[in-house]
Amino acid sequence: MKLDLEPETHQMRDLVRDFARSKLTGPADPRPEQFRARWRAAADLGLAGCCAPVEHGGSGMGAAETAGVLEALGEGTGDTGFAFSVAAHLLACVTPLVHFGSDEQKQRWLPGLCSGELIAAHAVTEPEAGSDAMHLRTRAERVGDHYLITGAKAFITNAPVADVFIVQAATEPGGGVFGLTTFLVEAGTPGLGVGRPESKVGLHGSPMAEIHLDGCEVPVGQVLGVPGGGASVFTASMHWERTCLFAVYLGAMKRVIDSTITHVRQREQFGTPIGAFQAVSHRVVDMLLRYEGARLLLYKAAHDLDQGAVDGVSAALAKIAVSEAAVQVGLDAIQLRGAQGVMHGEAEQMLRDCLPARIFSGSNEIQRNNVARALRLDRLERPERGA
Amino acid sequence: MDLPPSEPVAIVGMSALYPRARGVEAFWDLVTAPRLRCACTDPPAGEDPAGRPAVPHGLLDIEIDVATFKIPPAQSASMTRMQKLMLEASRQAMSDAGLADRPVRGERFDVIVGVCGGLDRQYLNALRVEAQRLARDLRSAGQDGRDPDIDPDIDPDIDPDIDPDIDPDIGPAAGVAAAELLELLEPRLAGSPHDRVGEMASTIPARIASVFKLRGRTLALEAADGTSLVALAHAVGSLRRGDSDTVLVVAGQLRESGLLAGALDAKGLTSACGHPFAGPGEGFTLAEGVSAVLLKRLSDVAEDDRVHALIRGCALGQDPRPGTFRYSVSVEHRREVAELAYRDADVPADSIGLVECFGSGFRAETQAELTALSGLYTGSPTKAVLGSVRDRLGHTFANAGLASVIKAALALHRGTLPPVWSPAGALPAPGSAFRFLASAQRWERSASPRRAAVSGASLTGMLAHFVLEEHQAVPVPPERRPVRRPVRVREGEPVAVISWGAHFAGASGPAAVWDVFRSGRDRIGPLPTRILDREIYFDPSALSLIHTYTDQGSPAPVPAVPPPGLPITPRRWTAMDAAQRVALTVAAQLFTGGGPPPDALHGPGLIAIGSSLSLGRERALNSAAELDLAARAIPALDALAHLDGEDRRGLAARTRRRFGAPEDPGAPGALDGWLASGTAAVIAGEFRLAAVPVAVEAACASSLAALDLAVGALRSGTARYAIAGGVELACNVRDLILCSSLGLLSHSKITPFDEAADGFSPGDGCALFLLKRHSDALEDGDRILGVIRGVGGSNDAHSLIAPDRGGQARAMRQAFGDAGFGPDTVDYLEAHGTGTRVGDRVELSAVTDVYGGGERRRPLQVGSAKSFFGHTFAAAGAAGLLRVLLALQARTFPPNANLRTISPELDLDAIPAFIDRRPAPWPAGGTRPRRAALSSFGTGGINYHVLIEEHPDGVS
Repeated sequence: MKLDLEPETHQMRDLVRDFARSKLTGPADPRPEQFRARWRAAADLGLAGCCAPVEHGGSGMGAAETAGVLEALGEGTGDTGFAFSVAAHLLACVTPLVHFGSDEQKQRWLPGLCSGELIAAHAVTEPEAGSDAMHLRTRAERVGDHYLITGAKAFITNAPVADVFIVQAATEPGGGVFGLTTFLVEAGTPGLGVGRPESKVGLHGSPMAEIHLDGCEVPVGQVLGVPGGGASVFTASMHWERTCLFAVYLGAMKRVIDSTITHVRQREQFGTPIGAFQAVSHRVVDMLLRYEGARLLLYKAAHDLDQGAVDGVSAALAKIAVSEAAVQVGLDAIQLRGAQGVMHGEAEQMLRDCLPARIFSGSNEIQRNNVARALRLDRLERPERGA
Repeated sequence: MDLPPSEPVAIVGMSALYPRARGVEAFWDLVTAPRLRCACTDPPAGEDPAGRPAVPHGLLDIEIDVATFKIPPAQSASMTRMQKLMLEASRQAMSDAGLADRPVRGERFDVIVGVCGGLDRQYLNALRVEAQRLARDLRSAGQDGRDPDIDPDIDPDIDPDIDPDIDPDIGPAAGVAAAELLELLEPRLAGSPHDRVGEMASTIPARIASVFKLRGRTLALEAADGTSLVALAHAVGSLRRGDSDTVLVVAGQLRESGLLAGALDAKGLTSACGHPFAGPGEGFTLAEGVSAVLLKRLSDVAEDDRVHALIRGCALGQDPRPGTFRYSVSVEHRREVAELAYRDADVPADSIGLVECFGSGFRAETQAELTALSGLYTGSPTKAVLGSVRDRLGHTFANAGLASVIKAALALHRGTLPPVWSPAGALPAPGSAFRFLASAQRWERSASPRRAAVSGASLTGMLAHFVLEEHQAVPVPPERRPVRRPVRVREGEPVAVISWGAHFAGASGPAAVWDVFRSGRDRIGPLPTRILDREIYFDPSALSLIHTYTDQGSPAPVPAVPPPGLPITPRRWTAMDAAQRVALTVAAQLFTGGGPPPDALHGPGLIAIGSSLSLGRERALNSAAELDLAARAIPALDALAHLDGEDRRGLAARTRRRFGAPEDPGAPGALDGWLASGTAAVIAGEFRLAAVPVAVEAACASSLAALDLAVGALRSGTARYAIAGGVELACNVRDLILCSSLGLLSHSKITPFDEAADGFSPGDGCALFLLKRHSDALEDGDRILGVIRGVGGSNDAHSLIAPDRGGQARAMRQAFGDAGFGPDTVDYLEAHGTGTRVGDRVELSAVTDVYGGGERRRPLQVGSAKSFFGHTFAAAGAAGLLRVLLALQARTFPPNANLRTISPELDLDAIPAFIDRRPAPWPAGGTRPRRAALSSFGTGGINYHVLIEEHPDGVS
C-alpha cells in the first residue's frame, strides 16, 4: 500500500484547503439560501462531483483521492456540518449513481449533481428502522410502468434542500437482502413531502429532516440498479461513506490539534507554557497518536476500496477508529483549553460535530458486529487434532 | 519571404459575455478560480429567489433594450438575438476603450463579425414559409385519401390499401385543422417586412456601424470553430496594411436551435463535458458566448489608450485533405503555422510563457498540437504553462479563438498565469515542454517581455497561431530586431486574376456567360414549380408576409454529378448544399481551360467565398425537423376532435407523407453539407489546396468583401494565391417572400437605369476567381485575365436599407487612393444596378460625385450584369467582376438587356456617361491600359468599389 498521495492530489488538497479557509468561513448557517451559496462555491471548485467520471462533469477521482480532498475540506472549514453534507451527497448519492445508474440515469442527473445545480439526499433510515436496515417499513408497490412508494424516512441529511432523493424501500416485504429496491425520486414529485429541518447537537451546517412518501409515483425507469437489488446499492454506498466521509473528521481533528498545539504553547501558567507540563504534553501526543492511527486506517480502507474490496472490514474499522478518535480529540481539546474549552468555540463545536459520527453510517456497535461477522467469531471451531 | 518585422497591433478594448461571466472582470475571475473539475457544464451565474441556479443555461436571460441604441422598437422583433448581444458586446468594448464618451473617428473604423450557423430569425422566417406548405398538405390530405407520387413497391412502409371511401367529414375538418395549426404556430412565426434585413449575419456589423457611426468596412465571416481567429487575422492584416485605422472584431456563438449541437454530435465531436487536453471522454460541449476586441496599430496608440496586450504576430494555415471535414492531426502543418507566426512576430518561440489552446480536445489532435509546439519551445528555461478556456466555458465555437486571445491578454496585462483544470490521464506527459497550473500564479518576468501564444484549429482543417505580448509603457530595448516601423510596403500592389469559373442561369463557364451578354437577351423568366409552388406562395396582388407578388427569376440548375475526377460519392454529393455543389463545379473550371492545375499552386493560400452565412440547406433541415414535430401533433388538433382516432392518425400520416419525411439532420455528414465555410472547405479539401477556407458575408456586396479579403491577404504576403468570388441561389421561395414583403422585387424583370425600374429579380449564380500577386503571376508565367488595382470599402453608418450617396462615394475614393490613378482614366463601370428608381438614382449621383467633372476623353460606359441574370445577392459582385474581365478580354463594352428608356432622373451628362443596349468595341486607352470599375452595394449600407485594368499583354 502506498502511504502517500500523488503530487497532483496534494495540489488538489491545497486548493481545497485554501478555498475552504477563504470561502467557507464563519459559523454554520443552515438557512437554505446560505447553504446554497456555499454549495455553489464548493461545486464550482469541483467538490460536489469529485468522484464522478469526467465525462459526466466530475473529476474522476478514486476513493483515496476523494478522501484526501474531503480531509482538506474538513481541515479548511470550521463548518464541519457543511463538509458533512457535501460528503453525504457525494458518497451516498453520486457514488451509487455512478456505480449502479443506467447510462440514461447518469446523463440525466450526474451533470447537475456535479455542477451544484442539484443536491442529493440518501433516504434509508426510518423512525423504526435505523441499524436494522433490512427491515424497512417503507413499501414500493409496482403498478404498471411505475411504483407507488409509501412510508416515512427520518434523520435524512440534506432533505430540506435536496433536489433528488435516493430512497430505499421494500419491494418484497420479508424478502430480506433481496427485498429492497433503490429509487431515484425528484423533489416535487407528488406524494413526496419533506418535514421541518431538525435541530441537532452538532453539524449545524448540515440541514436534516424527515421525509414522507404518500403513494409517491415513481416510473420504473427511476429504479437505481435492479429491482430487489437495493441492499447492494446501500452496502456499496455505505462502504464509500464509512471510508471517505470520515476523512472530513480527520481534517477537523487536524485543525483542532494544530490550534491546540498553538494554545498550549501560548497559554502560560506558573510562568511557563502549559505545554511544558507533562500532563498536557502527553495528552497532546495522545491526540496526535489517535489522529495518525485513525488516518492510516482510513487511507488503508480507501486504498482497499480502490482495489475493489467488497467485504467492508477495513471501512468498518476506519469508521470506528476515526469517529472514536474524533470524540476523544474533542474532549481532550476542551480539557486542554480549560474554562475556555467549555465556552462556545472551536473545541466545543468540534466535539458537538463529532458526537453524531459514532452513530451515523451504521453505529459503531453495528460496525463491530460487521467485523466480528467477517471474522466468523460466532462459529464453533474445534482445534485440529495433533497440531 | 524576407519581410521587415510587422507592426504590433494593440488590443485597446475588450468585452466578454458568457453564461457565467458577464463582463471582462467576471471572465477573469472565472478563468483564474481554481478547479478540480471542468466548469463547462456549470449552471449560469443568475439565481432564482431561493438561491437556486437560474435556468436555462446560456445567455437567454440577458435583456437588451434596443432603444438604448436608438433603434426603433418596431425593428426589435426582426433582429436576431445575436445582433442584440453583439451590440451589447460592442458597447462594452467601446466603453472599455474609453470611446463611450469620446467622439469616435469613424472614417477608417472597420467592424468584423464572426458567427457560425444560422441565427434565430433565419430559422423562424424559414419556418414561417414552410409552415404554409404543411398547412396546404394537411388540407390536401383531407380532400383525398391518396398519397401523390408514392410507389408502394419502393416505399414498403406505406400501406397501399388506403381506403378510397374516405369519410366526407374529413375534408372540411382538415381545412379547419390547417388553419388551427397555423394559428398555433403564429406566436413564434409572427413576422415583419424587416425580417430579410434583420435576419442576416452581415446586418450585425452594419448595425454596429450605424449605431456607433463607424464608416469603414463591415463584414461577417465564418470559418467553423476557427471563425474568430480568421476574423482577428484579417483585422491585423487590414491594420498593418493601413486599409483601416481601428477594427472592432466581434465573435459569438449561440445555441439557436438543436441543429448545430446535433450535427457536431453526429460527427462524434461532442461529449457531455468539454474538458481540454484529451482527458477521458474526448470531445467538447457546444457553449454560448459573445465577445469583442478593439484593435489599433501600436504606433497609433494615444496616451489615454489603455493597452491590454499586443498582437505581435499571427499565421493561419490549412491541412489539405479530401473527404469529410475533420481536425488536422498533422504535426508538420502545425509546426509550420507556428513558425510563420513567430517569424511574423519576430520573437523567439521559446520566449512564450503561456500557451492557450482551443483545439477539439481529441487525443490525436492535442498530441499533434503539443508535439509541434514542444519542438519549438525546447530552448525555454521554464516550461510554458498550458491553458484552455474550454475548461471554464465549454467550446464557444465561433467565439473560441477570441475568448482565448482575451484570456491571454488579461493574463499578460495582470502578470498572472491562469490555472487550467486537467483530468487524470490528460496530456502533457512528463518531460514535455509544458506544465499545468492548478491555481493562478504570478507570472515572473524574465529578460524579455511576457509573451503568450494562442493556438487553435478548425474542423475544416484550418490551423492558427497568434503571438501576444504584454504592453510596456516604457519601450523595452529591442532583442534582435531593428526599430519597428509600420509595414505598408504592399499597399496598392496589383493583384492578377489568373483563372475564372462561372455558373449562372443557362450558362456554365465564362465563355457561355459571355455568349449570354453578347446576345443581349436576359435569362429571367417564370420560376419552375419545384422552386415556387404558386398555389401556396404566389399572389401578384398582395403585399404579404407569406406570399410573393412576382414569379420571375433567373434560376441555375444544380449540377447532377460532381466535377470529373473528384472522389465524391453520390450520397455525399446530395448531402451537400446546392450552393456548395455549384461552387465546387465552378472551382473545377478554375483549373481547366487555361488555368493552372491545382498541384501547381504552392505556398499558403486563401479561399474566401462570398455567401450567406446560413445556407438554404441548414434552414431547410431545421424547418423540416421542427415541422415534423408539428405534423406529429395533428391528431391532437381541436378541429379534428370529432373524428375517430384512426381517422385522425390517418390524416396526420398522409399529411406527413405529402410533406416529405425530414432528412436526418443528425447524419454524420450533415454538418459538412450545410456549413457556409464548407463551400470553401470542400474546394480546399477536394483539390488538396493548403488554403484557408472562409465564408464572407456583406449582404449583396459579399463577393467583393471576399475579394477584398483575398487581395489583402495577397498584399500582406500571408497568402501566395487566393480563390475569391461568391455564390448564392437566390431563386428560392423563402427569399422571394421575404424580399417581396419589403417591396424589393420587380413585378416583371429587373431593368437597371430604365424609367420602368421597379426592383430586382432574384437570380442564382456563382463566379470564382484565382488570384495571385501580379509579380508572382508574371514570375510563374500565368495567364493574366485582368489586374485588380484598387479596392475600397465603406459603410454608410446611416440607414440599413436606404442607399447613401456619401457612403458609396467614400468607397470609390478609397479604391482610387489604393489604385493610384484617377476616375478619368476608367472606361467602363460595372454598376451595382439595384434596379429600383431610388437605388439607381443614388448610385449614379455618387458616381457623378467621384467620376464627374473631370477631364474624361470618352463617356464612361455603364452597365450591370443584373439585367441578364437578375440579382444574385452574395454572388452579385462576382458576376460583375466576371463581366468586366470578359469585356476586357473581348475588348467590347457589354450591353444591357431590356433597357427601353433610360430614366430621366439620371443625369448621365454630368459625368458624362453612356448606357448601351448593344455591345460596342472598347477602344484602347492610348498609353494606359483599358480600365474598368465595379460597384457592389449591400443592405446595411455596405459599399465596395473595385478597380480593374487589362494586363498589358492581354489575352495570350
